[in-house]
Amino acid sequence: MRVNQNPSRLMACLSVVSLVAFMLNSGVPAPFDPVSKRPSFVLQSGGLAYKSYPARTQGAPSSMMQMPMVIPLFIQNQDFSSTLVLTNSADQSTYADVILMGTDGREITRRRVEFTAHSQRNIDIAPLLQSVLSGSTTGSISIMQSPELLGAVILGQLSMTHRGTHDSTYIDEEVAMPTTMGSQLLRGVADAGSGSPLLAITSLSETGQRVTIRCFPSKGESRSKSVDLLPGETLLTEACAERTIHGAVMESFAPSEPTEHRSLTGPMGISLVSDAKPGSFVAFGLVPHRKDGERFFSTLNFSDPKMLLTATTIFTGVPVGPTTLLREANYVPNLSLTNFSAKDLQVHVRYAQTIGATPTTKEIAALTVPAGSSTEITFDNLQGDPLQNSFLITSNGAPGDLLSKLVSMSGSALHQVEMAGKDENDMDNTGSHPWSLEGGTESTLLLFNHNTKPQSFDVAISGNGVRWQSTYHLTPMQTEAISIRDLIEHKVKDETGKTLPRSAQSGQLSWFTGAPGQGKGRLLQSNRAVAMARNFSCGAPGGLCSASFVPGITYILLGSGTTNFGTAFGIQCTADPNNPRPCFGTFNGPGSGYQYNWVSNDHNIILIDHSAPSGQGNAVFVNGVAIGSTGVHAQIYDSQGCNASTGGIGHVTSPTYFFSPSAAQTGTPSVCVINNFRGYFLDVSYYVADSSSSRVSDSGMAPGENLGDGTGWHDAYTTPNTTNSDGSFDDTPFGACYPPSVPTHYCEAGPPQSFRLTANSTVYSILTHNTSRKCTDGIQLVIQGNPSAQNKTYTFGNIQ
Amino acid sequence: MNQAQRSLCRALVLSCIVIGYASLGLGQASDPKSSAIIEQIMTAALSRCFSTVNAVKRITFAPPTNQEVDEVKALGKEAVAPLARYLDLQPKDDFTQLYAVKFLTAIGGSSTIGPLKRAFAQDQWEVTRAAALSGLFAVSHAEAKPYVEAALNDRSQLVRQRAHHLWSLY
Repeated sequence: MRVNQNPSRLMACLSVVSLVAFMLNSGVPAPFDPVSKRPSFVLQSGGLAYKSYPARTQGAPSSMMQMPMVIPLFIQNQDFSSTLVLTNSADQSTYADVILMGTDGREITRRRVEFTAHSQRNIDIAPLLQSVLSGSTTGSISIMQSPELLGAVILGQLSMTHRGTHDSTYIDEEVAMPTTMGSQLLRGVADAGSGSPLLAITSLSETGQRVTIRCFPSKGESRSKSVDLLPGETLLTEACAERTIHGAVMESFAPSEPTEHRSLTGPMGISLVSDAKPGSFVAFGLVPHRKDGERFFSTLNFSDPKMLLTATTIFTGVPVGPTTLLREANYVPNLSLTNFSAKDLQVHVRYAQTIGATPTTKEIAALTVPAGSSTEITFDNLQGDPLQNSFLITSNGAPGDLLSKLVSMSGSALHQVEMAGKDENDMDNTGSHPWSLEGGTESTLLLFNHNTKPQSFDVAISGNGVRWQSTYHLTPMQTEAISIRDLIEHKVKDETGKTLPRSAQSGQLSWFTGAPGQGKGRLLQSNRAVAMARNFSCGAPGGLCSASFVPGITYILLGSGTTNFGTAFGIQCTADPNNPRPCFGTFNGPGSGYQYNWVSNDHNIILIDHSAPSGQGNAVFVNGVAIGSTGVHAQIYDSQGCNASTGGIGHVTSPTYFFSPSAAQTGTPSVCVINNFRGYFLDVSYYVADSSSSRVSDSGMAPGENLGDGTGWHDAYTTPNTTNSDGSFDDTPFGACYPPSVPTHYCEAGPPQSFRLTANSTVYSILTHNTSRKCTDGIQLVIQGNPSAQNKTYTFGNIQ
Repeated sequence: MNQAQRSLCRALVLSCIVIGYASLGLGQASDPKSSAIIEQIMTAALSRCFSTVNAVKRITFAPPTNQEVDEVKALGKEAVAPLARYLDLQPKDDFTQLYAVKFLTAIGGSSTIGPLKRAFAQDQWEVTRAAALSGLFAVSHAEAKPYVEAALNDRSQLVRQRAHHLWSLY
């Protein structure tokens, strides 16, 4: 079975790709079609106009079958409400199918959820049940993203709310995706509670299976029991007590809760072993608590030890002490540990605290956890920034031997703040989270660089049609808290000068680091007034998968010095969790931290001068060496071995001619009219052409004229003073008016016009030259010196 | 241009400047030195529009010299308010307003956007309006966009043509 490399979550919030065919039980859709081609991507992010010749990327995706994401437990009754929160990290519109199933495995209803690019959707479970008049209160949820998508694009979790006697508590259940690459074993750690944890075990098999549940308490011997899981069933059972009720719903356990189950229990490790093949079940648990007569729950998440890569677990952005973002209280970290192995393990707890932007790291605990037992540590004397604190838990065991759970406890109505632990080398180097500021909610992105080198985090926040992108640079062991409300209210500009609009109150957020094992991130949604804190830490692998080119000046003037040819952007994709090289997937947007090598196909025409970072991309500056055209492209690499290339065709030209497409008569100026002068005036349109008669489409070139009258060159005679981006300009007003004293029809030769062009301080001679005849009742302009097809004569009125 | 014409021209410009100051009021302050330089440049440029060859008078639009453009650009923002005043001169001779627009376009920058919008008003010569539209486009594509879009249906064919061309560059 393949699960997410997440030590404290069972296959946490991974998406819908697997190497194996997969069949749910009756009432569940048949296997989805294999994905055998790349979708047609449409880049929309950042307002960038991606213009380039087709980018080259390496590798093609293998044919894959889809698997659903699974949420093992939803509860929707008078005590619990459930909302499915999904995000789309792709730079394209898409959809996902949401399927509700009862505890008996039968489908209750399904709903297709549409997404715009980089968006989030909240799906309340109650109306879905009501829409089919279902009386079900408990079950599981399956989520299938569009088969057109590659990689883990749709991510999400179930946000449950438990309404207590006085206050509500908030439970976050991340989605799981099982695969056959893992084992038949799941492990999890429950914090100290009041009674046995309640487990929901969901079968994903078409055959029955037996699951052995073993509890590893802090005191006494471990105990175990076995349950038989029917195909497709969601079985509710008390992990460390006897009760197992097939077909039960949540209410089956609440009313008759035995007294002994309310007794205080210490931390508890729980392992689940199935006799079915890997990938046949998922599980989630609720840990009951009682405090001052109030009943509330914390979460119990599972992970597959086979899929963990290290023996270090990282918790990012842990509240320590008082914080204005949370209900007023002193928050104290509490760490629960279980040693599932048969030998004693040495455990070290490191605390990385950041004040301002300066991190300090120290070991705050070193202990031995005996074989097959659980323990807990409360850090009640810890000082810290309210949120910029992270923990690293390391043991000398094998990955998965020691698992941990960390919560921040308080004496307030917000009893516990939970956060997901992540394996140090977790393959997920991207995150996709929902954010909200509605109803006084705050959203804070927490980033942690646990690497020994400085690390860049690309952050993209989408809301109300705007995508805000910026790169945060964190020093080793630095935790950074980023308030989305602050970004909006302080009108913080991103790397392209954009700000998030005040009207944006919710949306989707992505973060990305260059490679796995370098940084972690999570989003905290909190509301001080209602004592709410929710954790969102879904992630996926990501890598460089494509590139795009935004051209600058591609018509390079010969001898004009260094020219900004354009900017290349490496495009980051959300990738397939099952592929060891995440070099393809669904487009997420431009990423940073890539290496760019610029190459000219012909150094005798265009020479690369230098390149420099430009926003999230890399700009190249070139010199035109000789007249001609050649390709200039960037080869882009990331630290995971992915590469892509992009670029454009450059043309080295020498401005030679002014070609005129048209001329039009203008109104007579008042200065003539008020003096009773008569005459004709024209607006003559031109554009710059090179020696091969090709248009030089470049702005900022200054055409100049010389009338041979001793006043010299006039380099601002045109309208506008310099060329438009298509190399065009106008000569207006061209003409003359004469006094009443001359005959009604009077003509004279106008002064000859000769031309030049100035660009980048270089002056180019222009071969075009004009003569004219100006009359009281007509005008003629003769354009010469061009290739014959471009020589023109404009005649208006009587010029004889 | 003979002495009488020069005197007439200068008197016209000076009287217009006075009217212009009055019409623009105190809203656009500028230092007297900058105003004097601009006045000198505008007078010289306009005077070149009047010439006599073989005893025949003529009026043509003489482009500003490179030196005049450099002097105005050297004044930078200080030149904007003095130049803007010429846009409201009454009566308009059209060449003066066109010079003002060409100099404003040469200065560039956000401070010229307001005066260039003013120069696009319907009471200006169509050549001035077309130049103002191009100048506005050169200064800020975004600021110019509603003006360019509106000008696609302008009553002046010249302005319409210019607008269609600029619109194609978005």
